[in-house]
Amino acid sequence: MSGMRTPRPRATVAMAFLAFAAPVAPPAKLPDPATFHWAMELPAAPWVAFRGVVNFDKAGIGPMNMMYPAPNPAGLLVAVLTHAAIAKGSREAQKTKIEKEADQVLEPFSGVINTFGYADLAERSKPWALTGTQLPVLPRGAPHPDTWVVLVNPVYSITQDQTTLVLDNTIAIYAPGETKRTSYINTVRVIADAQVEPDPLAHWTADDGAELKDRSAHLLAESLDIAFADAMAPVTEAPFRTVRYQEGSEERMERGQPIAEQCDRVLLRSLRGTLMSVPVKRLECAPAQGAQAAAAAAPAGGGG
Amino acid sequence: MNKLLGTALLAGTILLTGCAGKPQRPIAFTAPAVTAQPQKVGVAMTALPKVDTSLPGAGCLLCLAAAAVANSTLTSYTHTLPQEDLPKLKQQVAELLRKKGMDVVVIEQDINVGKLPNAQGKGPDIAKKDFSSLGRQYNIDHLVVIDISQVGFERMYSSYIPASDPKGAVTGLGYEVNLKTNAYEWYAPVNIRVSAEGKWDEPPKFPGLTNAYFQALEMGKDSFLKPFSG
Repeated sequence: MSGMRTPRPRATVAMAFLAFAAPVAPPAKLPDPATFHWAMELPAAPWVAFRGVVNFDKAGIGPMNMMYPAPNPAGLLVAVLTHAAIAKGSREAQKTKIEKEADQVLEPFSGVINTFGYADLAERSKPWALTGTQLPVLPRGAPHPDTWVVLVNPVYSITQDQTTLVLDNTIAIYAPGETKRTSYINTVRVIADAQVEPDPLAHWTADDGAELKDRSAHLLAESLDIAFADAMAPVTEAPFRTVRYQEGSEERMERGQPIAEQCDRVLLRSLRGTLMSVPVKRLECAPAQGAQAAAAAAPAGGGG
Repeated sequence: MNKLLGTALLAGTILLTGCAGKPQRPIAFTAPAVTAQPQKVGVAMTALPKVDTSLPGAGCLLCLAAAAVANSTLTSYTHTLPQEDLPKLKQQVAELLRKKGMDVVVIEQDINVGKLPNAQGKGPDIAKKDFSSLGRQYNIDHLVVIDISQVGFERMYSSYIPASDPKGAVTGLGYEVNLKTNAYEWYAPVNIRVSAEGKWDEPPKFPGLTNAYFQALEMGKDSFLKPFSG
């Protein structure tokens, strides 16, 4: 993938996309990223966080009736409270178990992800950033009197079929000198296109995990581009609809407001207000068109 | 005393076994064979239920009252959610059947299966209700029914205590009856449950749960339409 790093033409396309996304001058929450000093602050933990994509649809215990020992009202109350405590504990334990089972997908990747640091991730993401800033890393807690700081908290998930990387990045932007009040904060999810290699594990982990690391960096850069565009653009007033998209080999749905739609990718604002860039299946998306869209990889683009 | 105990045991056994009827097995849909005289297929729906929150497992009256109070904010919000295009399911099924070359009639009125007479014949894959009157009324040979019984949220209870977080829920049954034999030709229970991603208790708009609701709607629609789109 490193041979494909040609950010400048892609940046031009992306900036055009940003201009399209904000056709009238919005009440900007942020200055133009290209005109100020910027830096990125990374999470305190040394290693990049990974987890397995989890599904809680089957969580919960079945309905049942219970006979409470009730010698008197106080006894009944104690019995009900005891039952509540036990049930809550069981539900939490069940969720933890489901998460642990989902995380088992990470085991074959452990050799790569256990040594993949945030500093390496940030360095690899620079060539992919499209918004004109190459974001040097600021040491955590360092003063930044003349620099806008982007605090990132990227968490990656791997689908159970091992084909797809999903990034959830909570991005907070602080004005120069500011350490408490954010100028902008949101979570951006970017779901990469599914890998079609017959052996996805070998694909991701070959060459000391170069593909996994580069793709992770690519998603980080995309999430930053999306956040910058969102911070500068007015709030979308598009009608809500349910968008179907691909996550690995599975079809998923999300209710939200589409912000930008390309042939094979949609950027939408979820009901919680977070942003999602998701790959979609479009019959009318010709291969050439798809490749073009991927190359543009604008705020709504790429991932794959 | 022994006689009394024996009678009680016998009555209990009869009561319990009486409830345990053999459930209808799922039957995959196969398009009626093309014959010299084309078969006409009717597509109908039962009345759609109100979008609501159900609390199964809150068995006693006091439990149900406590659960209803505990979930009242969610229930009030549930009543504001749309059914989206669920009422159009019969048109969508009809369209898919027409693509298979079948002669299809969409029955505009909701049908009330409960009001149909009980079927005379009994046996495997025979419907318990007699659908033949609908065959005469609409001049059709087969009837496809989309029967949705629950749309909204479901939260399991164990008496007073929640046994799960609320989930987006669509429950229903799709079936096709041969109106000459009253036998099922397709029988597909639909039971969709979708959890909210992350926390669910986010009043007043419950965005995570609302997303789960719309996901359940889409998955429910897919379950009813998929057998006809293959």
